[in-house]
Amino acid sequence: METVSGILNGFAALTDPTVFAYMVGGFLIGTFFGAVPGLTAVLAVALLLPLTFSLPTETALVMCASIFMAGMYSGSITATTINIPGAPSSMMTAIEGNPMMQRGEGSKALGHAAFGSMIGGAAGALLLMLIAPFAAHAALLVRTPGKFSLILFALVVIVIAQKKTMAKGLAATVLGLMIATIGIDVMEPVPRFSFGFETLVAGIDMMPLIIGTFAISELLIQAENVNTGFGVDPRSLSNASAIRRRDFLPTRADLKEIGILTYVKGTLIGYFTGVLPGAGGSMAAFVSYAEAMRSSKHPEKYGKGSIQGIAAAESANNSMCGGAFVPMLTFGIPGDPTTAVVLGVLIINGLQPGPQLMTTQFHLVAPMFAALFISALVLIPLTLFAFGPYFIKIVSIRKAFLYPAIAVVALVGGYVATFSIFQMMLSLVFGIIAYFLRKENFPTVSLLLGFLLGPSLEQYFRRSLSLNDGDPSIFLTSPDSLFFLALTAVFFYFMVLRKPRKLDLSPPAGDEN
Amino acid sequence: MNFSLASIFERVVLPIVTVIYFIEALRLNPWGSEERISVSFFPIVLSIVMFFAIACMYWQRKRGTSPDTPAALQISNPLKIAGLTALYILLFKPAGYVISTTFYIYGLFFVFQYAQERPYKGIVYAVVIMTIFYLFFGVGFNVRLPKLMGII
Repeated sequence: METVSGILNGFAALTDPTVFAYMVGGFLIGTFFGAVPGLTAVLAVALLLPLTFSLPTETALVMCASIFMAGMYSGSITATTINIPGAPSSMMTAIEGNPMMQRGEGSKALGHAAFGSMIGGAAGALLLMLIAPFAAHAALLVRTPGKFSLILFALVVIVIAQKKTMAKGLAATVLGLMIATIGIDVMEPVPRFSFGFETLVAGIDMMPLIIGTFAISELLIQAENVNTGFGVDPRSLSNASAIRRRDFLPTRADLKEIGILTYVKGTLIGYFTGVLPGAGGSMAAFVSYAEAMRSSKHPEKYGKGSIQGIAAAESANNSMCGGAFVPMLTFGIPGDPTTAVVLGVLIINGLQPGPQLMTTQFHLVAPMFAALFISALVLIPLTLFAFGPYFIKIVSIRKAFLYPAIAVVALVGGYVATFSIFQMMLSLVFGIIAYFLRKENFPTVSLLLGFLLGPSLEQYFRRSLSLNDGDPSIFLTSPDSLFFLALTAVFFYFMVLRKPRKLDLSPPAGDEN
Repeated sequence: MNFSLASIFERVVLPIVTVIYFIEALRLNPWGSEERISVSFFPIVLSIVMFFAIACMYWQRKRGTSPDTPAALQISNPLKIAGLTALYILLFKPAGYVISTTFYIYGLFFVFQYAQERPYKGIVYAVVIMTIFYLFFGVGFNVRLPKLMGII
């Protein structure tokens, strides 16, 4: 009952005009960042990170939620119109949406992408509201050795999700863990790896790491080819006239062809993929799309413009948004890159994810749940009808204006959060490191997750051993720990050792959204 | 300028960083210390795992089974941006937000090949972008941005 009233209060919080304005603003920013190839919702939330110091926590989280939902949906816009997915999670939508665009059915494809996103996103948010409080209570049962094994499980999944570049995934994760060890030790007042620099004794702040990894590195990558624009064929932009508002509405015959089961399966696949650490929207869309194709009565339509394929992929990647918040809020383990940055927002605002957050501070996160739901159910269709015919113009914006603006927001934002020139310089250093990592196909998301989870991993590991006089058998004798270690072994078997039979369901390497 | 050392991070930087990290981890808790789980234990474990990852990458490269080919580095423009950004950060406090940001944006216009074609328009747009973010941070979020001699 307390949870229900807490959630209703979350919806009530959105009636505050300021909070509502931030939600709509966040949604529009997320739509822009999701639609422009190269920009992502993660980058948008990363740029917002320094500003959260000046915003009330609830408002910052509401804005993050609406950016996340919009970013996940809007990748489908450029995927459909110009065959360039704005976000990697819309790759499947490009396969089906663009052929429809070619034959003059672009509006229909955009309409189905939005409808699938709306259903999946809203249902994912509802599942989050239903499951998160129970998950928080379950989290209370996990003791210190179990918490270590759970984080280890998350890190192993993050590494093996890279599939073809597993060694690089491992290296990036460990690099993140290594960076996290710089500064005062987690249990004893001993400085580590400061190399005589006083500024390093306090440790590395997450802000420069996030800004450098996602904003500065993107600026450096985009600077490589200043003349290529976004790789858009000008002829494809002329198709903009073919997008009509009246064709956005899915017809009854279309919905019958797709089938309610496609939406249900897509939503559930997306939600539970989101719960898995590091899996993300691409994997959710890919698995759901593959399942829809496998069970379809018309698999021959796939690849040529199947509305069922669009519905399956889009309902899954938007449903993932809700799922990704569950492990982040209850255990402090982010389900995907965007929630990893949202975790940063929580920590910066002095909130510790875990069962306490979901009980005593539920009033802070409930508006975020409500924003996730409203963004999916109301703002997705609303923006499609309001701006749909003009979406294609997004890619006409010049890089020369876009990236200098992003650079200023990132660097000045980093400064206003800490008033430290050292932190600004650190953003540049991490940006350069991330640039080389990205060029060599190291997943930078693994670096971030390693950095975020490192201190807890070490703390729980050492505490567990201290409890048992240094005997590591505690990880096997503690039932919760044993459960997570067994789960790790099961995942390792199915994702690494066992050969896939028909379909390779791995997402593209370096998936960041 | 095309840079041929496309795997410089994997082949050079990562092994060197790991060796330095490992040596420093050993120095944290000298051998013979009675404490079994000391401050150096976790970093030593991390170093060993990193050496394993580096060995795996080396083995994959050696056998030609590495699944990915690093993209060629076109380092010229990123290098210019990194230099410009470093200069901007160093001048941010002494020169103030208005001057340093305007010059930084104008410099970026050059790298993105906008200011060469339209130098005067470039100055105008640099001032416009600087002003937008001044209003955003300084007025919207009430942040005190650095000023040159407390004036601008």
